[in-house]
Amino acid sequence: MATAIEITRQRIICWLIIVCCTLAVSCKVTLITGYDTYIDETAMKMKRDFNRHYFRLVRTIQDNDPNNQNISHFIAYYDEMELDIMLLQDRSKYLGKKSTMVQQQIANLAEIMYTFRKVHAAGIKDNTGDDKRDMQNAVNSSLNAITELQMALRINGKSK
Amino acid sequence: MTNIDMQQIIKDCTVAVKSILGKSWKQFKPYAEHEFKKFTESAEFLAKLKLSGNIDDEELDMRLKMQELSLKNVLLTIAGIGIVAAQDVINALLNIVYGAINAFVGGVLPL
Repeated sequence: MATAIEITRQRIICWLIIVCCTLAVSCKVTLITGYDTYIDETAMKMKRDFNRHYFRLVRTIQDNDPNNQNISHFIAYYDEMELDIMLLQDRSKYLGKKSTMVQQQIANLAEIMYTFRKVHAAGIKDNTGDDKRDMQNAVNSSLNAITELQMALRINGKSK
Repeated sequence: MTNIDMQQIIKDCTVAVKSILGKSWKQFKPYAEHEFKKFTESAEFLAKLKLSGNIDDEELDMRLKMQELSLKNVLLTIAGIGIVAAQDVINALLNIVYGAINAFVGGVLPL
């Protein structure tokens, strides 16, 4: 009798192993994706371009010329920025279902950059003590966030 | 045929979880602290500008919105890194369990 129970137990274990084998055809679990070389590189490029733009802008608000900070003198930068955002958005569209975090980050970044341009377009006065450092922080933090997540996704988070 | 050593599997799994989560937290702790500090400084700077009359309500709203969106991006990164860590933990555990089953049945499961 004890032998029959033992045999049944072994059969159940064997069946469980077969079921596990069937379920485990794809052993790797993927919860998040969204790594894209282009997004990673563009975010770094945007950071470099933005900071160059910011330093130039700050220089113009620390002098006594009330007109040199006008947005019309910075159109080239904003055109380039617009192009980078457009390309990031296009690229993020094809990242796949598990990449919503990266897509959301790009949407947030676009809104931040457009708001920066809007504040600039509204006009900036000279020597008020407001060097817009909070806006520089916001842009840099947002771009850093994208590159940090891209770094984390680089090994196991490539979109298929 | 040898038995599956459940105690050893549990021990291996615990070591793997601790190692992965510990590494992950150490990796993003300085980043998170740095970003939260910057956010606090920016909020303080904006409050001073508003109190001194340097900026109006509309500009304050726009600049606060930028802070909010930027913080969202930072939190998305922290959440994302957490998910990557969870994914690494799951895959490490599957590797250990499948490894043990493979040793038991002779290399059927993919590792």
